[in-house]
Amino acid sequence: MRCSEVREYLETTGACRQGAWRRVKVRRHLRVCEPCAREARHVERLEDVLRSELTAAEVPADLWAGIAQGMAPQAAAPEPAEALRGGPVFRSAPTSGERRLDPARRGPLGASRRGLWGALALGAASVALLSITITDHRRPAVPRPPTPTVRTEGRDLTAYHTMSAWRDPLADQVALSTIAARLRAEPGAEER
Amino acid sequence: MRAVLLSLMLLSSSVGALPAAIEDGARLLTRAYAQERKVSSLSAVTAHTSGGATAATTTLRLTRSAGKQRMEYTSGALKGRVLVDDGKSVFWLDPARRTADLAASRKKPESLSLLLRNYRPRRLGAATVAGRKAVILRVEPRTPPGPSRTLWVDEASGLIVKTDSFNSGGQLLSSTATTSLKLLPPQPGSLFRVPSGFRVSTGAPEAPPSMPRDRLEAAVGFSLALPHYLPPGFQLDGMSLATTGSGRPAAQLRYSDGMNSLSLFEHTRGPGGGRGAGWGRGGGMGFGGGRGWRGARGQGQAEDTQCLLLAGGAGRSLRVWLPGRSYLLVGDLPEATLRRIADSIR
Repeated sequence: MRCSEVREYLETTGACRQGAWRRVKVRRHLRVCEPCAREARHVERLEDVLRSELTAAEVPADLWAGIAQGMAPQAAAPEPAEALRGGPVFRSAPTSGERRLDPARRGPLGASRRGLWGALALGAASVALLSITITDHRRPAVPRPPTPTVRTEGRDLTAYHTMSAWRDPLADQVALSTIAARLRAEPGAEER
Repeated sequence: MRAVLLSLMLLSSSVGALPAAIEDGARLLTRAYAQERKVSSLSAVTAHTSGGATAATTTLRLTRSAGKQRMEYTSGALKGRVLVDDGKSVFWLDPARRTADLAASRKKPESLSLLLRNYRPRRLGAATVAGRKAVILRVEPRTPPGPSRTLWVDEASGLIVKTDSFNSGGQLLSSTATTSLKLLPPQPGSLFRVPSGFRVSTGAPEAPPSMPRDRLEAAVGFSLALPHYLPPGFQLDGMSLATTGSGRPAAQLRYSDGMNSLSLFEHTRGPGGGRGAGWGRGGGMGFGGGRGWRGARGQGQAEDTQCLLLAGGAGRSLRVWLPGRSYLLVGDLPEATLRRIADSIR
């Protein structure tokens, strides 16, 4: 397998990486090609960061409303909780959208071809995005080594940084002690 | 004509009022800082902290006397825990297990001068906190971006009765408010010490004491590299010995501008350390990590770097991996600034 093919494979997102035989070939190549192995490690780190960011981030209350607005009139947005449960990505469009998709008024499939393809495209994009953000990280395509130690180290060292502000002027020691105690009780709270 | 004159009068009065508010703010802040170390009090406090798993709401009884304090958590995840600070060391007490864990042992009392050089306190107005009249102070960086605080200072006692802490982006990180305040006579020192009979663990304080550079280098087993660039206003606050999650000694170099702080951790990477290999899962959209770092001149090129946001918006951490050495920068600073600092380490 050539380096260019391996790089191309690495550049595809996790959800799109298919084929056990292809994975084996890539893995075999990575064992002997240090530049590609470095690239693979870099991609893996980026994915780690992506996952940690997405896990840590709080979903803004108006996120889905914004998406729904952007997608209207093709389809309505799901409720965040529903999406996170893995429920339907799309729900029927709001009243105005439902009228547009009325079978009596539209073609044999019950929707205008343009609207249907638009909804399908948006649906596919959303499914891909959700698979990246939610589903895929639960289902590693390739077994990976044990959890690296550096992330744990970074977490613990960050707790030092937090607590070393104790004697700073105007330090809110009540808040600091609360955060420090929570960090002690729940390793991993700091960088997720 | 009358409108013009009125505008000029308003303009002149507002221009004159601003420095007075700032001067007043600095005076009030200095007084509040001094009173915290003089006045004895018992207060009920509610604290909200933001951010992922560190998000919490707790209530506690806070006793203060002569710069010492005792926090007894009365609700929330920390209910039953007690923290004592005798002015030198801070211990977590677990009354049920009769244990005491050292949390901090930084002795140096910080002065306000560095903070006042880099931050501007401004009197905003008045409010009522815990049924008492309070003055609102806003403390903002002279050169943004930087963290900020809003303080409510009790008019009668001069004590700070409420604190809202914001990160550089203006996001509220924590809010601590007094719900009742009672002034007391000086309290006995025993209230702020570890009770007799408690098993004391001093092995892993999160804020260990500062030590000289040569002693720290001997403890970690390598010569420290220092950043040659620091953001404006920052200066070295101290060096101390930390321990990584895997038990490896790490040097902590702490820099401060009076309110914001930056930690540089340095430690070795032994065989089997590092992040290891592994790939092939998850999707990547390309934000976060970076590469191509060329810092630490004379010590080799970085193998990789990784910048993460800390939960709750408390800042960022930038990890730099070099052959055999690892650096971690932590602070509420823009990523570009962290990278510039990292580039200057040598």
